[in-house]
Amino acid sequence: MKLPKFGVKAAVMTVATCFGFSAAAMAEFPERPIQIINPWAPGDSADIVMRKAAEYMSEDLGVPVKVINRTGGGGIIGATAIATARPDGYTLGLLTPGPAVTQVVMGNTTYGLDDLKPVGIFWDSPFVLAVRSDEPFSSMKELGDYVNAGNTVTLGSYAQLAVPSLLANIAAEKTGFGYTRIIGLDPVSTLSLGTGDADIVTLPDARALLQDESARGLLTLTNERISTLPDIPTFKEVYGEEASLWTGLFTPRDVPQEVFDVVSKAFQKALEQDEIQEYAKSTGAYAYFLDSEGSSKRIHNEAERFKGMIDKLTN
Amino acid sequence: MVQIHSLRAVFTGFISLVACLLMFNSDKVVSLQSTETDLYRSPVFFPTLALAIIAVTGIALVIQAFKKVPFMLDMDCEDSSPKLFISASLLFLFLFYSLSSNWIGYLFSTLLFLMTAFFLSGIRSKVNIVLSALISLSLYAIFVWLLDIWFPKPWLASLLANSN
Amino acid sequence: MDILLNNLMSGISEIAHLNVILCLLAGSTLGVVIGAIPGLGPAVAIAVLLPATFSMTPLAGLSLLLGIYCGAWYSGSIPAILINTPGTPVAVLSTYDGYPMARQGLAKRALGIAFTSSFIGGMLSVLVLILLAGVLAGFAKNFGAAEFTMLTLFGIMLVIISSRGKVLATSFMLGIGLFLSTVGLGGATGMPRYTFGTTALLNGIPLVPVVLGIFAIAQALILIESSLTGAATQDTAARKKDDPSIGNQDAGVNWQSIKAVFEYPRTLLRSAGFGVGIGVLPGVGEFLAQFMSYVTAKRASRSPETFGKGNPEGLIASETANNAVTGAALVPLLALGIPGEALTAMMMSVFMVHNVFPGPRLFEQSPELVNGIYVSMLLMNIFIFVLLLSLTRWCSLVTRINPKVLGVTILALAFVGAYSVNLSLVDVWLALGFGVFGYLARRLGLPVFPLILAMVLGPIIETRLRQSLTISDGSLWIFVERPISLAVVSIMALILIFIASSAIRRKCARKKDEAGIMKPL
Repeated sequence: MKLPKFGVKAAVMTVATCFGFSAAAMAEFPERPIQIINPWAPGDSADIVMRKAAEYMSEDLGVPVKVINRTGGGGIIGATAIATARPDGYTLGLLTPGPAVTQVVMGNTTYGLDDLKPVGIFWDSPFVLAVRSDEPFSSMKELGDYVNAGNTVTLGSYAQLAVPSLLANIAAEKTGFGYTRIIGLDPVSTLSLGTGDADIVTLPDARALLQDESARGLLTLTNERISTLPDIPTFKEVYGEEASLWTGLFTPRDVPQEVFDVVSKAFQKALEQDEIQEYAKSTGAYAYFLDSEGSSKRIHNEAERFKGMIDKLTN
Repeated sequence: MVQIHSLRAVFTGFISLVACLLMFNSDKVVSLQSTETDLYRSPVFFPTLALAIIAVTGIALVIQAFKKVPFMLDMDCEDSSPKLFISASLLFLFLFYSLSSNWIGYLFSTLLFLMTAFFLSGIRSKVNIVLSALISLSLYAIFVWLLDIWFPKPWLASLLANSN
Repeated sequence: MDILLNNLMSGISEIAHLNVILCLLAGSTLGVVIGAIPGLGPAVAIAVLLPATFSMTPLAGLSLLLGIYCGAWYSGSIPAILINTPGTPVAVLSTYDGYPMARQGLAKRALGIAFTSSFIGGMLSVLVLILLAGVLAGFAKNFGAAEFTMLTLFGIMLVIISSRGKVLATSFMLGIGLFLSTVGLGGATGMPRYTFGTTALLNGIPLVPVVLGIFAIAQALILIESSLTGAATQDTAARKKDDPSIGNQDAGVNWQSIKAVFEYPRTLLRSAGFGVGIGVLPGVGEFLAQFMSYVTAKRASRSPETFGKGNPEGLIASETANNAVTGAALVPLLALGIPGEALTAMMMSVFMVHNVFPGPRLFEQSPELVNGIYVSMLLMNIFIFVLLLSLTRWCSLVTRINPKVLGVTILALAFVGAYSVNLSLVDVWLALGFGVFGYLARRLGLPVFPLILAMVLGPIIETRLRQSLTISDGSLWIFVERPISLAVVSIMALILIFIASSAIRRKCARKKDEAGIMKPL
């Protein structure tokens, strides 16, 4: 090596002193950019709304707030990164029931249910159970009668044990029937209805139904009616139980309370902006804010409920 | 050519052995929580098929190698002979490069990697330093500035910072 | 023709805004740069720029992303030709004939041919998109699980057929690729497979690190070795030697190579046809199209034995089909509102963020946006083509760079390329591991291309096969009951019969004259 060793050392020291200064001047959170890890690919409604919210948070907190997508492994990769990040409030993350609940219940994760602390659940994506328009049933009850009369019905969803599929199964169980088969689709679209691969799909975006006349919705997997499809009954209306494909903002478990409060306040303020509410309305999603405690409670409830369904489906 | 033939036999034989091991121990390396009754829905159905292809063709390749059936090398490999020492040291250097990026940051680790790699492959004049500096700066410009790729904060720097 | 003109006119008025034009130019240029860097694909750039497009008008945002997409599709062939390392995974086939041409000192000619055929493929595909989007969408709508299963199997078969006489080794590598594609969460229930309890492998083995390891890292080592062996001296001599057929080496635009492309009009049209027709099938289309066009071009050629050794026709076949996919890939997105894979899914979100939902009604609701997209794609194809032609000379200088410098730089690029996709060092280590594997495989004469293709097609075969068998409750009849699937099965059977009969004939012929030289298929 021709390069004198002290050169490297000097360089390292320079970098170090830069950081040394900032660390010494540590006064108030936040003073560095904040990153929000999204374990899913960019571009779905939850990702877009988080990016919009991040802009408002950034204005409010005075440091850049950036959404980073770390995808893969059913969301576990990103979720693990959030759980194992340094609990200083500079790494936050988005979670959905998959990585937050069902993967934990199935024992696929290294983190537990309480290793991620919810800032709050804030977004329900507009999932719909959709069927071909020419099917002879128009509600879950009629579908149940149809199946119980000896007809076969194939459910198309992401994976057999993915959350939308579990919810569709819980709905069926409560109606009193079971799907003949479940097939995994990726992406889930109304196309599979047309080719006859599936008879009922867990459609992730209600807007697809407005485009495709050959399909219609039976039930929305939400608590509130989807604004763009006001005629379709919700899971909560039909079965009297909460069910939604939510997204929440989380921090690592051991974030100091004062830092957590700063994040939480900025986030709630961002959610109140008109732009975000309007965006929710136009996509058919539902924007709200369920506080930390409420979110924790919902997660634990769901863990129990999904565990029952997972055990049933795998045995 | 004799040597390549036997190496080829060892390489394909080894991979086919690994494939067999994985195939017959699939219950240990695949979590079979579900008790699927249908063969085609079992999570090991497709991997086992792939492993069987590897195992069978691998053994056939070993037999071919023993029979000294001639085979073509691609153009670049025909024209040059392996220099295992330099290649191995470059690969190790690459490993250190990936580890060091966590410690001293992307820019410095790239600079160090380029200088050492150029030195190893025989560029030892002043050109080395100039080239390394230019290449590492342009890589930094493209990836960190232009494409905004996020690299971990240098671990060493934050360590020193905390001890202050 | 009237429809075409009307569409174009309304599209032109849409696109005549400064910000749209700027996005188009910036996107195309960026795409060209990204595509030419091995390991960096359009997916990375689009993911990074996606949030920025949310604040633009839909047409501006889409022009930017489509520019990156098309640009990368063009320039992926540059490193494939010059350093035997595909810039994007779809450019794999361009290394077959492009790299040998470059080694023979015909780098510029190869680049010119690749760009020209890409341009023709790209333009034709946009024209077909304008005229036949509805028809193509109807075609794509008929492809369900059974059809996709058979198509991917057909793809695997084509890889073996085009294996240049290494059937056994190709199958071996295909098997490895298929197996690797099953690592991670998978199966009907999404359970971890072969992850050995680590979180890192839950994600499976991503394609980019494998491509980087097997191509970039292995090629870098071999380059450095060759420069130390002394082979480099004759090599550079060969490269510097002017080829009389190219005429003026330093001319700005190489008209000869453009002309050369038009000497194969049938290959051109056929390849574009494959690209457009099969490109509408997401995930499978881009690879299947180029293999089908390559294999057919080889079969139809008078000198099939030169394919893979620097035959320009092979390069034309793969590059034309490759770029003809770009327009077709948008069909499911625009006409059905269904993104087939990650890239088009990200483009779809540009529509969605502005509350435009692509689908059949898009053509009635906002025809001006659709026409704007068409014109934008035509313009970017022209721009990228002109840009690349003017850069050909500079690109070809890469072959004159000291192989040591080139090799080490490729290694540094491999690091950041592997890291950038998931921001994960695990991917870098995977790339390193596959670098060792790829190096050994190449030194031992095992073909590495099949592995990549199997990794792409593997997950599709597995899920589609499982879907099909689930629907049919395990019966294989489903593959012959559906008409399209039956058609694919019959084509496969016919090809197999043809190969078997010609192999028997060849065996008889060989017995007769004892020539003993086995012709590769």
